[in-house]
Amino acid sequence: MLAVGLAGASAEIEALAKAVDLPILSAFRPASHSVAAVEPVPRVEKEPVDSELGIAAMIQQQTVRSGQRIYARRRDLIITAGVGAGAEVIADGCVHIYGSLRGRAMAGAHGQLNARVFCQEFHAELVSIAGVFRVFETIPTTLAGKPVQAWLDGEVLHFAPVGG
Amino acid sequence: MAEIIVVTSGKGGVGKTTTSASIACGLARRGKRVVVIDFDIGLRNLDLIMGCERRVVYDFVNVIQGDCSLKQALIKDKRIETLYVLAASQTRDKDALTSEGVRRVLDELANDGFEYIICDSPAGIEKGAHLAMYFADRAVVVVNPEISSVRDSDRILGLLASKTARAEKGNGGVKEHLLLTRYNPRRVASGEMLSVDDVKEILGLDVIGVVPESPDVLSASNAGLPVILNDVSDASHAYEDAVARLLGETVPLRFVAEPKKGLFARIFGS
Repeated sequence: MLAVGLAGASAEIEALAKAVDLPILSAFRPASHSVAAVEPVPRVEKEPVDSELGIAAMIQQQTVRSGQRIYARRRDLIITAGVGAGAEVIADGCVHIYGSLRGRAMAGAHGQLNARVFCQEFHAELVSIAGVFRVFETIPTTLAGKPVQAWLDGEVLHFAPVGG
Repeated sequence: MAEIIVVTSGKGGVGKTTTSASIACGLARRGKRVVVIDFDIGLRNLDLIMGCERRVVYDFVNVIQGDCSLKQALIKDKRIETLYVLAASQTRDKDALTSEGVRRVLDELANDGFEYIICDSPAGIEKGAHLAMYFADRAVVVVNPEISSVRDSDRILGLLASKTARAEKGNGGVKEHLLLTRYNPRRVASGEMLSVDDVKEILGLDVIGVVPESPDVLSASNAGLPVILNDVSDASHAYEDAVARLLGETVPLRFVAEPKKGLFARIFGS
């Protein structure tokens, strides 16, 4: 059995998650209030220059099928195919999907607040960043089928079309 | 060298056994030496669809457990010279199957000169379905143009890509094909049913055939005659096309458009 994550939101669970280096998959806090679909994209502040080379992203070239779960530990996840309904793609960093997103995407699995989710065709079931999640029972027409990015601002998840 | 083709779907009742029987007959009619095996232990249907249910003496589980030889269990089809059926056990269940046993039987069939081994998978993703797909070279994933079937097929495609011998060894993986069955162009046109393009978009695979909904399928199973042997049925022609594409031929897709009503049909009703 390959452990992929821990469930629960107590302090002991968080300490255990740190110790065994696994993400916490259900410390979900729902988005605090309903969010308008189209918002101006905030400017990203420049990160301080770091001399140490970071690890390259995990790259998944095959379609992620229903029931499959992909987890990129301590890095970004790049998928150059689609993510099927019922599939889960998780990363400690950002999740980039060069294809359609029909399943769940969870970025910042260890609590990284700056993590984002990007996809080419938005039909997501659930998007979560650092535990703050939103379920899409219906997808707003401004987002459906379009390239979309999701980011966290405080406790609020924002979604906006991305790209040219 | 035998090619092992698994006919699977995830969802039940979509047409796996109908497809296994028709594809096996279609290949055998072209002179190939074919055996079709029922992996649905305890709920065997393949022998009914093939019309040989009263000739089953020994079955797949008997062969695995060494109660009889493979030759004693194989049932020769009365209509097609090069076609054989290996029925499942009705009194046992899927726990009687072992990976080692299945591998031995498939190796023996390959050594016996069979060119195609069709494995009729049971529904679900448990042991029976897992063993049916594990040794496959190719897979025909049967899908109905309806959301639960598509979702379950997506799951099966994931399992084919990860939990098979070919996937584990990394030598190319199982070649996946999609077969759309029970297709009704009129309902697709009215928006009730998913179209071929919808299914291709969701699953990311091209179809190897589209079999229209047809009352001939029920008549065929009642008669114990695989529908491909019915020369006038649309379903039969669709299965013939699918067999041709499996063998590498390029055949245009038929039965995807609503048939146009002639003048008389429109005046006097169809």
